[in-house]
Amino acid sequence: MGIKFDGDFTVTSSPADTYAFLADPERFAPCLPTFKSIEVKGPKTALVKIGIGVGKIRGSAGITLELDDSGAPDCAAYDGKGSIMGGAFNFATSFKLEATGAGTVVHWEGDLSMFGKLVALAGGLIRPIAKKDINRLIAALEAELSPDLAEGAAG
Amino acid sequence: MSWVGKSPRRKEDNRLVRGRGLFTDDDQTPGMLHMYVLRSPYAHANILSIDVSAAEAYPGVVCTLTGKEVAEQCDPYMQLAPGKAAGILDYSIAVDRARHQGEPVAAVFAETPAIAMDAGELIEVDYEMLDPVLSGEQGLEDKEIVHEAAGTNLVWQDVYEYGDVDKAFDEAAHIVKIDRLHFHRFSSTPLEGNACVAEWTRQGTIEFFCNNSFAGFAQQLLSPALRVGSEQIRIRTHDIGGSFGNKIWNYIYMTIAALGSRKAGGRKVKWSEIRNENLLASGHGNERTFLDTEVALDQDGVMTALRSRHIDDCGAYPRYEPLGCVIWSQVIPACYQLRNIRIDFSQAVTNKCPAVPNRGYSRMQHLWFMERVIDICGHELGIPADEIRLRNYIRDFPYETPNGCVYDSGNYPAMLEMAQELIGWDAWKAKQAEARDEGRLLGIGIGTTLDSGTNNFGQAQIINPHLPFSGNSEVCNIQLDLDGAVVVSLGTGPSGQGHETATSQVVADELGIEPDMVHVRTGFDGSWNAFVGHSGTYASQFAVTGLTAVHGACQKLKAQMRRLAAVLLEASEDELEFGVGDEGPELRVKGTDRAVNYWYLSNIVNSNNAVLSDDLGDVTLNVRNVYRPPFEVPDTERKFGNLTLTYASQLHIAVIEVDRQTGHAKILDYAAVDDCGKAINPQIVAGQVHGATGHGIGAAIMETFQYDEIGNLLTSTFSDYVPITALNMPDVKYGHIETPSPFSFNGAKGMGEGGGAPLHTVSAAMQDALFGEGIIIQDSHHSPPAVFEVMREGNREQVVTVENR
Amino acid sequence: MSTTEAIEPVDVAIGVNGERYKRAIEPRMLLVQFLREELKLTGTHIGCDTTYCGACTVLLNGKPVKSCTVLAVQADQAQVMTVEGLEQDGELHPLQAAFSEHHGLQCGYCTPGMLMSSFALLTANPKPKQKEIRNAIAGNLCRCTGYHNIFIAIDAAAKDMRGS
Repeated sequence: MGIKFDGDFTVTSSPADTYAFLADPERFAPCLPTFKSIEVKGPKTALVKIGIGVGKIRGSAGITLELDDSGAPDCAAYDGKGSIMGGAFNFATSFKLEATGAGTVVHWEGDLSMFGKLVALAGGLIRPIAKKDINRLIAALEAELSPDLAEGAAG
Repeated sequence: MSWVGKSPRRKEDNRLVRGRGLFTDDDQTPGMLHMYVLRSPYAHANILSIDVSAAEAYPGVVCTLTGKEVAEQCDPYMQLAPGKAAGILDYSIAVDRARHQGEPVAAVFAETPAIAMDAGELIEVDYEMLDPVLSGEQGLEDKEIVHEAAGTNLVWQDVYEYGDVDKAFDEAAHIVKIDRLHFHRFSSTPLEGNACVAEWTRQGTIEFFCNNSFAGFAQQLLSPALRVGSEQIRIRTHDIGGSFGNKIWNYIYMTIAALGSRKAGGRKVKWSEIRNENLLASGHGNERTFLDTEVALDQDGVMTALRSRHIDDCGAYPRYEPLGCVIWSQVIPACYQLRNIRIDFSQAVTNKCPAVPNRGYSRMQHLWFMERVIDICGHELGIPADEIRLRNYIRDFPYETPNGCVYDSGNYPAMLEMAQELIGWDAWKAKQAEARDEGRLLGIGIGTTLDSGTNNFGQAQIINPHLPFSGNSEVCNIQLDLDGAVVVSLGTGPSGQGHETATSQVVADELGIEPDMVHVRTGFDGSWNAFVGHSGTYASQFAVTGLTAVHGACQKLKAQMRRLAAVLLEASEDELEFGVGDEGPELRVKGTDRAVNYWYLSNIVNSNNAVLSDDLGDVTLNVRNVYRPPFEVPDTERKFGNLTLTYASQLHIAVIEVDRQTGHAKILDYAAVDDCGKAINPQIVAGQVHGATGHGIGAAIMETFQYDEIGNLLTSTFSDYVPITALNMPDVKYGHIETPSPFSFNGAKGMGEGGGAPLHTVSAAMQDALFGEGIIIQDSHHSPPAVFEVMREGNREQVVTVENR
Repeated sequence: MSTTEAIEPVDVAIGVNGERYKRAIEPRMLLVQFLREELKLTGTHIGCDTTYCGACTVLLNGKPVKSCTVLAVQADQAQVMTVEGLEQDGELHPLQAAFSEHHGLQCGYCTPGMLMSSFALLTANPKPKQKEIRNAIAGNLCRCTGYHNIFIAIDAAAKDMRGS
């Protein structure tokens, strides 16, 4: 099952600050919904634990997060992969930055693929849940990057 | 009294209805280990690393096994395809790349199944995802390569051409062109999953207790792969919970279990597949796409020529499948007189579950195609479905097809007439007219099909001239045991077809005794010395190949018994007759009470033989007989020769109503007529027809292996795959005719596969219901969403063009 | 994933085919595993993992259940009947005889579950209509027979048991 997302949002931080935040796994990863822990493996690699649940099917998943900074300072991107319950998922996400006034417009794209038992068992439930989780991630990033605005404005 | 042709109660039932069968998982030897197979969640991925340390440290785990170890300890399985595809490396566990979702990547051996499974989840595999190949057509593009060792996804390609195709097209009155047809993936999913118990003994022998249904073939694959002599392997089966061909391939798991047993110091290892594994990875029926089909017809609607391009998607490993590239040609013109044929056939590997033989294997796909062809031509030319078939049926038998196959016997018009009578053809036609006036979509469809049995393995050489296979054979061993009991051993290893019963009927007739007096051993056992390389239950061959071996064994045993009895009774052999006396089965001097019973005969040979004269030294009362059908190696250049001995036929008619709102197809009436020549046991024959009909209807309307765009199997549980239930199965009106085969001793033809008749029939009824809506039935699966989709769009203009001259 | 800590066994006492069995079992043990592995009653089979196929059907306090979806601890103090409990003193139950007589089985793998669902039907409804027979075994898959002869066998057994 493959799901593609995209969108944009505006934050009050400058492009440089926004890039610095997004390109730091230790700051970026906690914005992932159901974030549990992070273990930094290298300058661009981290192991992140998140909780995953579809209905009564619950578990935790380890994600290997790899930063792609080849587009610096205008674009931060991550490739991730993880496994859960005999299944697996992969994702690629990128954030392209564009200066606007005092802040930054972030154009983002995401591509999530899921494999195995979770797809077989949870099937059609996954798409709305994945959509909700992406919205939560974007909302969290917006909140972190617009510290002067009220939290949770989006989502 | 003749037992053949009657239906005595099955010998097998006595244990099975009591819950006293012995299926593989029922083996519960204390101390045996249990195997869990960790599988790839990805359709296509490099395996960068595997860490089994946590699993091995888990309490109760004895050892693990990875693909790397398998590659060190084994040779790859023999490949059947020639050329580049011969370079495919096929191991029981993926070595450095997973090629379909569910492919084994590691195994755990532990004290209980639960511990093995728990530990399996601790194995860490680092995958690098690759783009998957998800159709035969995509495979042929060779953009992504499934097997780098082969360098191409093409398994096999060649053209089957007979007659003068182009001339026939030049002279045609009508040419019907069909853009694309597709036969979907499904399998008959036996209710018992694959299972095996393996023990690599400290003496170096490997004992298998399993449910493999083609032991002769498995032995030939296992021995070189495991680097042991064939005599070191003993395969044993008992009760098998259905196979339908699917269990031919499970030597893969036998290999893993055997290697685990050796690594565990010779402890027995048991593996029982769960359903999710079965649907994901245990073999799907093959999927075929038919492109650019063109049919030439004369002014009467008689087909004169056909040209087309067919592509098989054989999944990730070809295994048995290259044979699927030729087996369909056993029925190249289907039931029709068509003489000019050109079919370009290719097969490609993809990142889907490997295809395996499934009831009707390879012929069914082609027969469905041919039925779509004649059915679409009938509709396009305005010739009724029954009429166009009657104009095209083969009528004179034996009939040699354009590629040299010989149809032994048949009477398709008589079957059509019987089926029309059973279903009430004229009444349904009247109801259909009324329904159409009301705007309802009612269709009546005919499917005529063939079930070719006892194949000539020489056809394998059409695919690859270097393959060491030809002919066919089966074994029967018959003996008088120490107490005189008649004991029969077969090589067939059946899976529900009642071989014990049918064999006892034949033996009873030959010896003049009753089936209850014949002990047919259950299952297969390599140590009985009753098997050859062809031994197994597949391809509708038992009634001819198996029972002819039984019949011949009886003749040999009787000859020995007569010689011995003649001496003991001081009579000539001509004066003796076989029968049952006061002391059981006996030989007696006709018209007298002078007799010897079987105990006495056996006693003289086996325990009391000082009285035996030298000239009876060769009498053992223990006879091994091999039957070999009269085959020659086909002409591999011309792809010409007799590929099969018998051709059973089926004709089904279905009445279906399609719901306009939902696309749901409801079967309103159904008739099935069967002709398998002389029926040895009519009740078993009827049972096979009903069973095959259930499979076909389930496949046509409910069951499909559906993959998403990245290679996830979406129907990997029974709740999604939805096998047909008692609620979905229509009442079937059953009829039977007998056109005895001239090529078998008993007039029987192999049967049981059913030729996929319901698939052809349901598609034809759907076509009849929807043709008026501008729809051509292109697919063999008719799920409501798919039907709804095509009803919304219409497709006739895109799919079919007709040239009238 | 389960934990590596030892799991406390649970004591159960389950009546099966008229005998009472006491065992200490893992709490996650399924009833079908209890029957097959603890009691060696291998007549009850496993055919799927989603409670679809019914090969594992047994009677729990007289009601048909799929024993792959019942924990053994749920059957504590209950009465279970399996296919092995159908015959009496070596005599086949009329359902068993009818399945054989009418060729209502081929490979025999679904048969124990079919028999138990049929037994429950005929106990509750000695004179079932065709549709009631179909409904009673709607949760029991058979891959061999196409169901046709199973319907006939159940109907014949019902007649036999009614003595008509």
